[in-house]
Amino acid sequence: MNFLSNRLRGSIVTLLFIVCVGCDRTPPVPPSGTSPSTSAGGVAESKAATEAVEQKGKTANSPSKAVPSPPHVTPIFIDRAQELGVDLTYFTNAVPGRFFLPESMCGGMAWFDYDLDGWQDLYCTNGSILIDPDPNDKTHTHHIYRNQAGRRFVDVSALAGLQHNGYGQGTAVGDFNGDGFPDLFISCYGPNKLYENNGDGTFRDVTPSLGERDPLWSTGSVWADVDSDGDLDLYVANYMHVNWKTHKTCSFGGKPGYCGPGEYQAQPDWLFLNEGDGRFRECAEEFGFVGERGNGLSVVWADFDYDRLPDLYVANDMAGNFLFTRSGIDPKKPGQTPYLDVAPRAGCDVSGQGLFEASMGIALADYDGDGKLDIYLTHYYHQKNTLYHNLGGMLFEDDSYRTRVATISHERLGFGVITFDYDRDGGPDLIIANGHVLGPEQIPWQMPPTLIRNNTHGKFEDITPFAGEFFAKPALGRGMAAGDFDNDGNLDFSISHLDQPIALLHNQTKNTRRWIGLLPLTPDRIKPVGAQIRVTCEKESRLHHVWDAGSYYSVSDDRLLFGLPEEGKVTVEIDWPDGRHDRYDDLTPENYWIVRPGQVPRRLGSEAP
Amino acid sequence: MKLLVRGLIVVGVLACAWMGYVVLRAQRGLAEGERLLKRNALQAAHRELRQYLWLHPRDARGLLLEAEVLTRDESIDNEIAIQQAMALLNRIPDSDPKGAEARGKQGRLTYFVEHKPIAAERYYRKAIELDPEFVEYRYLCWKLLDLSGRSEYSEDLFWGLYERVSDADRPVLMREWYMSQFFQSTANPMADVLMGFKDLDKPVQMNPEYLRLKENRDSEPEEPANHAALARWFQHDGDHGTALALLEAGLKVPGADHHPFFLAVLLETLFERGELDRAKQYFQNWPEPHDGYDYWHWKGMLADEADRDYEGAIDAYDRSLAFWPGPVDWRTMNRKANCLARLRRADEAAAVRKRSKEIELQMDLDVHKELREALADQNLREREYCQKLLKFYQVLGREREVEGWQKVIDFLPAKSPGN
Repeated sequence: MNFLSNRLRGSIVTLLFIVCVGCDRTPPVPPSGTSPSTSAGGVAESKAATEAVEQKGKTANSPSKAVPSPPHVTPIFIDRAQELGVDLTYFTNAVPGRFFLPESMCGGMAWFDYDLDGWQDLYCTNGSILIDPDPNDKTHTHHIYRNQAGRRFVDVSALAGLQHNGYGQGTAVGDFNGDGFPDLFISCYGPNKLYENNGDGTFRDVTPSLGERDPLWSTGSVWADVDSDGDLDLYVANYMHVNWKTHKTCSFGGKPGYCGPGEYQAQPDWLFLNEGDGRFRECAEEFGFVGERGNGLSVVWADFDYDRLPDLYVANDMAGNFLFTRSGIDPKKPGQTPYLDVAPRAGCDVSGQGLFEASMGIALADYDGDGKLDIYLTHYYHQKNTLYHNLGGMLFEDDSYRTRVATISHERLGFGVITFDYDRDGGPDLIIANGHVLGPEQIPWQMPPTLIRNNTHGKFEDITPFAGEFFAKPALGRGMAAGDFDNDGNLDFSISHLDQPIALLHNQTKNTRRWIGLLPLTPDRIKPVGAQIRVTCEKESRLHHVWDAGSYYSVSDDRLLFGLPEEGKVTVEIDWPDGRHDRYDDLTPENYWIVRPGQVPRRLGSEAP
Repeated sequence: MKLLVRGLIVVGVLACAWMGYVVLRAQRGLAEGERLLKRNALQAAHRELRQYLWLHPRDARGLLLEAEVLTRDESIDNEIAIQQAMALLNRIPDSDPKGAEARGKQGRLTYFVEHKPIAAERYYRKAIELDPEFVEYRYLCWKLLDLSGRSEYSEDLFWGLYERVSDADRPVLMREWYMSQFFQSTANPMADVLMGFKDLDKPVQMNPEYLRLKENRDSEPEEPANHAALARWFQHDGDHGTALALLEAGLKVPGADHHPFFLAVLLETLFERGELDRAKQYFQNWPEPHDGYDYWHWKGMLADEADRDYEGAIDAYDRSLAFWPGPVDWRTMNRKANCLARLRRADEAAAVRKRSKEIELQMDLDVHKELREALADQNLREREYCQKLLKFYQVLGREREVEGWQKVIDFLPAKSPGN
């Protein structure tokens, strides 16, 4: 303790408390703070301080150390990628000390049944050489694994003609030519790729049909019938202007790392309108798909207000998210574009406090059973993941605190996210791939994935500690896609990593409750986005909304899974986007069913859809 | 016998003379002690003043000077010196004309030496109550709030001080006020250096604010506000777990669960952790008066988030925004806009959201970087720099600050032609 009073005499004029304006770069203090991050130096200092106090405070009853109680159904997930034949580590081409941002993003995957044999196949994007790549390089190609009846995956990339060697990011699966076979779009850092499914197990490159344009950094994408003409158009989110000219390295706590979105210019997104003759026309601006600033990473196509006109939601990294809608717009009004971004007035562009959040992945579900589709977004470390509760009428509220989403996610940096009902109790649960982005010099870096249970009473519980070995292991998780590869009614997952091979999480959870799976298709054999499916059994009734895309860079199994009570007859009712209502009373549980408007459902496996 | 009587008379005379000499000397001791103190002859001043106080044990001036000597004299053991100085100052009653100064000095010793901010604040506030014109202790009390992580409560102190100082002192005060409003953690770097929390020679060191708040808590653990200030430092650093652990420990302090500042920090932490039910319970403890930024802010937050009572939330948010730091609290404005939107009051929501955005843009680091660069002109001689501050506060709608900066500009000497 210093003895200072002799030195602290004097009047104001002596100014003992000389202000040091410009001495540091600490942001203004709350509540007026603008950034969730402190100055780099401050972070390092505070960590040391934290340790000191934590040591001191060990005797305190800290709820942060509280052990959660085990869930009623034990989740069992086993990584069987290698054993089943999926053996790919995303090639980032990361060079130590270079910190070129694309290296830190990794790539997505797609679960889809490309050969219509009833088994979900897996497409995995891959990276490539970032400087002067060889166009004929076959070392770092994308891969497609054919599912052999859930017992084995075989790499058929060469056979299928899917050996793209661009720096892959995301995927979008959709039957753009209406021939019944799913086609494949691959977004890249650099030129994108469009493959048409030939229907014979092979694909052909039809990228020129997208037209010629300078490549951008394309990320999330979705096939969506934005003009309601019955064929699928393609929305592609673009990220930021990062190239060797704009590249920079940032310093965090005196150590170098990858710069964030604040350091680069955003890129506009693209809309490729399907002209119906095998060609596409880019017309994002014409359709109103423009926002103030979009560092887009993920997109979803869903009908948030049930007007049978689906909307498009774009998750932007440290910028306001977009919600493009046709609702309430008079297209005949002069100068009016078909779509308008209403996210600010809908309350789903920024956090409830008005903060930009680093939106990475998206998952949709009706979390509270009120019949409305809510939005879950993964965000940056020490931000929070955000749950936008849909209030109806295109209005949302940030419900992250009340639901405990905020506190569960606070120590994680989330990317891929999927909603699924692991315990079949009707409450959508969440699985999230996590991992930091700043670089290996920073702490934290690797992070374990998260499994979160919806307790069906408006709150979420972190059940990660009970989910087994894979969930205890820190990694740099990025992409995540879901597909029930063995058709057992338990949803399985693939997760891409920056630092280790793709994981294939086989869901072996033992449930006493039953399940039923549905694959709804429109007469045009596309996903009926906006359809509402109600499944009733005994006294339980669940409503599911059909939507597309989401997660991070990835595509999941189109089939929908519903948990059912142990006994009782099942009734399925579907409100189709065209207004038709169908009811099915004779669907047997523990099966997947293909349902089309006005047609008799067919059991998957009995006939190709 | 005669001889004995004469002898006694002589002795008596001598004794009286000696006594007279001693009294006279002691009487002079006050002036002498003050003179020696000024010359920093602390031991000699101590002797003089001790003698004076022997004769005048309740003389306030003597007590103040002797306390000053004790606090300056580093040859005396720190603890003993402070103990003795405090005891001397305690002998000066509030009713004494020097009472305000005595309380102020006690405040200084209590914080800058003993690092007990809450006790020091009590002394300062008493000094201000006894002598509202005593600007030094107003100033120190304001700084104390900065240094103990509670600068948002200093508005009255600042403006009270501002009104009592000369025009010449105001520019510097306005600059310090900006730092206190927006950068409280680094508003007083020299104090951190002098108190040993910051070493200018070390490039990497522990965060001085953390060290200071921790020292405050350790020196005065019986005060809930110190626990709360330290917890809030962790809370704002993103470490909610440690913040809550510190608050849980603080809750053991009697009165903590009814302390407004403690409750405000506790509610913030519980809120971040999704413990809204517990937050509601603690909010019931809020003591009278049910007013101020914190009270209305948390009433609004709980109405909004826990009860979905959007009308109630809007009312509470509005009230909170009237108190500092409400006028710059764009996050609460945004929450209010969301509540309005949920009540389908779209136009009002849009207007509030627009205002929130305006304020948010003013809180951008680049904006403040520019302002701080302007303020780095220590003498505030550049009109252009002051105009930046003026415009900044104009956008915020802060009339008093605008007026303050306008006066700073008016006070600037006119530039001579050709310069």
